[in-house]
Amino acid sequence: MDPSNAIVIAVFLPFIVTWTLPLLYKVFKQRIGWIAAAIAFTCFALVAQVVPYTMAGTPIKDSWLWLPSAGLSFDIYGDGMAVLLALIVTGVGVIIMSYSTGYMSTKEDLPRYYQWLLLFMGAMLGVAFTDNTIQMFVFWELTSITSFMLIGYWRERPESIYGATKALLVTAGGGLFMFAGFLLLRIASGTYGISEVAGSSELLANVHDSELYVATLILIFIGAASKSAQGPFYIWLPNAMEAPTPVSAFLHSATMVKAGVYLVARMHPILSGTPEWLILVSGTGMFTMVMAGFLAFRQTDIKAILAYSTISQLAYLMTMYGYSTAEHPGLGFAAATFHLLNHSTFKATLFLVAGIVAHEAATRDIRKLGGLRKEMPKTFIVAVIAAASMAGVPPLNGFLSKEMFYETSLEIGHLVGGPWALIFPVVAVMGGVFTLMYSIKLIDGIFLGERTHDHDVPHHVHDAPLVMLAPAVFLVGLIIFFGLYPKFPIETLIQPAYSGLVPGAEHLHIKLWHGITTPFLMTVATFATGIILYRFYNGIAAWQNSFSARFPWISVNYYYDWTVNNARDVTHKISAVFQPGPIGPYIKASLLFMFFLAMVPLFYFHIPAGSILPAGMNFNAQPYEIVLYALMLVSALGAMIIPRYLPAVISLSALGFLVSLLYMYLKAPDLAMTQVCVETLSTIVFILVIMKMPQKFKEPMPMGKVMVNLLISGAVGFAVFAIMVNANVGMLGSFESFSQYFIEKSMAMTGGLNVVNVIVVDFRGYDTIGEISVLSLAALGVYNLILSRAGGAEGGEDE
Amino acid sequence: MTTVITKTVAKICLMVDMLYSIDLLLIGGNRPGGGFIGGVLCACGIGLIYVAYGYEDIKKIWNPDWHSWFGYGLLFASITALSPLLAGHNYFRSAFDIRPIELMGYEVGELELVSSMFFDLGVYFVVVGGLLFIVTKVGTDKVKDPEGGQ
Repeated sequence: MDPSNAIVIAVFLPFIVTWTLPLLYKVFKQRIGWIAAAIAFTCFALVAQVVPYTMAGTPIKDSWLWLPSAGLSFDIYGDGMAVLLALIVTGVGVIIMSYSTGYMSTKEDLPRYYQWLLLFMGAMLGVAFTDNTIQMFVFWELTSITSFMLIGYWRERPESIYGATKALLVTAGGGLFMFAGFLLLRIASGTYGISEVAGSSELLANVHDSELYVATLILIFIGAASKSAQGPFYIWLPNAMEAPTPVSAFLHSATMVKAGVYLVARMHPILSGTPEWLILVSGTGMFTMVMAGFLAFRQTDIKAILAYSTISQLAYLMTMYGYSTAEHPGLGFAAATFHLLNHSTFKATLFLVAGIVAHEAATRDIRKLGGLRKEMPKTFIVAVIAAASMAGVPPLNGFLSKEMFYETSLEIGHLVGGPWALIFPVVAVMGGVFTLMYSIKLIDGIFLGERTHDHDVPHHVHDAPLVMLAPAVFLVGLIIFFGLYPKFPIETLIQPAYSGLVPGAEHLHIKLWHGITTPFLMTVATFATGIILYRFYNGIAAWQNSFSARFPWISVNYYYDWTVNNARDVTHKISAVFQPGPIGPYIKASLLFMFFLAMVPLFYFHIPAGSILPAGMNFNAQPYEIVLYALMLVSALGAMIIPRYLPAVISLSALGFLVSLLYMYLKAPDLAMTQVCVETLSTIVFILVIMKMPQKFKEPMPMGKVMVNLLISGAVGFAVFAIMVNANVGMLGSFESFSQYFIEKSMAMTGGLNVVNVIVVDFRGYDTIGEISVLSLAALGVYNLILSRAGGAEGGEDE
Repeated sequence: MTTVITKTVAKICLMVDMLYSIDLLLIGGNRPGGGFIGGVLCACGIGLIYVAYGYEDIKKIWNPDWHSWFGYGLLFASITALSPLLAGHNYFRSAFDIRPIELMGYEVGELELVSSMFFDLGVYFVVVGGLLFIVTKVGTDKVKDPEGGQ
């Protein structure tokens, strides 16, 4: 297949299939997960077809105009980096969706679950293959929204709602900063294209010399950092662990959080090579790496430990992508890209293990677990290999990329010089030490030691079922394979990504054993320090707990909660002013507005002409007309003064029927019929409601209120009257009537004789479809109003 | 409300009402009527039955989900509106054909086939479904505090 078609199909296939899932569910029931996995596999196969092209160094580029007037097109760009991310997304997607068939209970709302997973996958593929910043923004925010829906999958749990809201506010909010950055980039470079800027030395120079460079860099980096949970934006990721575990493995460790890192890599050719880039990207990365690794200690939930570990590992990637000087712009690029791949393998495995443990042992609290190695031997082996890879134990893939991390840290330190020659490697080793420590803790806390006898943990814990174990075993296979035979991933995936984005990239040689080099000594130092410090693990965690209890204001969460809670209170106060609740003020407000709407143009155009009544008005009325008018007056008065609901409503509807008689008299049968029907129906609705209420008005209205109401309704009545009598007499000059057009064309074009109806369904059918949509929405709105008033789960807003 | 007289009258009304409502829908092209007015009339008839017999009692015998009526009506109208695109016309373009009806060789009348009829049918279902959805929901609302209704 043509590679650009393959990419487009891979991006849009999930979006299309997702709509059919509810129907497929009726046929396949709980096996629907396999359908979703098959779709993911199809996308994987489609993306894999692009690999030969990227290996040959010819990226796929294609473009379709879809909004030419705004200069927007749908651009795809499939280079090594995009293919790498897309393969991770679809590959982990296959694994997660098949694992989910075992993990998710069949009682759950499965179509919704797989729908959002597929939508997310499509959005993520869109992010990977995009070649223009607007498109990038759209798909980027789409991943935030799908993540929001998946974190909040268990809608009734307050923690899920909190976590989902936080994730949405932070990542989608960060996306807006990124959008501002893209606009600045567009100002500096003159184009929305990404590869276009990266490929042109002139445009690159424009961007780098622009005074907007620093602002652009910071804004785009805020987007990337919020998505990848870096710096102060890390707070959303631990709360996102409220999602079902497969979702956490998929979105919040292997793929979506990589989008921020991917953006940094994508912007690398455009923005890197400056001290600002090094300070911002690497600085944030190094800070986050150490902080998150350290904060992982006090976590007791397995998934929370993994969340902090993910933050820390993503910070590795940020740090390495940040290693960049003017002469060597892509110093850490290859190492980072390799680690990006490796992290997806071992972290997804660990999440799958966490899911298995939670599924079988019924808890994820590491204090309640322990000694499960005998009951879950297979899971134990899988977990040990994955954790060892994360800690950087040879000969696994994590070891290789960690070595590269140490090596590049030494190099950048050497290039920057001064005290930095020491600081970069030392911080890197610190990150490694913390990683090692929580990796040991994970294995130690779940599988080693004495078997605990907590009442939450069942007496007999089974090993994982095959459907949940097989995906994890497959990933572990990759971990070992990449470790022993790094040539394969390097040549097919890493080298194309590296060469595609870093000009003058050298050929990569990665071997398991380099001899006793400085990076190897750093690894040895990491292991020695980590194992010694592990004895103080619980002590450090206890100290962290007491520290955060004493200084709550030191946490970023404190400020997040403060802001969100205050925003809620303030908006509540504002809306209490504008929406007080009883219907009276709303009616008064809209009537008054109507009065001004009618009177302002009337006075503006008409007063120069003199009286409010137009000249030549016809006051002659037939006697039966007068009777009609008198009856209308009587019934209107009756509706006003009768002190009981039912007669008042009957009186009101009598007025409506009299109006329809008037229409009849004025030769408008369509209107008259509609009026009769609508009047009947609204009377029925009134009666339905009124039957349940006490039949008397509760208390007489105070005189002042009556006067105000009288004034308002009188004013509105006057305004409507004035505008009606003047509408026909050339208030704005006379309009040419176009009813002749309809009358002439009606029969010839539509075969209908009733011009009114022909206009409704034919000439102005567009209006009609709008009207029936409004009617449907109104019906749903009524339903929701009643539901919220009945005081359902939402807790009535009326109180 | 649920006296014998109301019940009997409502029953008779319903029959006349439904027939007239369908008639209005069909003749809409040439004489006063159409999908909207026909739909409102149909909703009136059924609403009257709800008032006369009580919603809870009717629900036990016959309880369509009105929301799917207006959902499908909207879908139907939209499809009708978009289908001319398939034939290469603008959307909402309508077609019509007038055919004589022959009976044993004699022309006894003519049948007018109008494509906008389908659109009107969609409107009809939206109106019936939407209005009765509102009526049933309002009718079953539990009034908690006397202030609520005003």
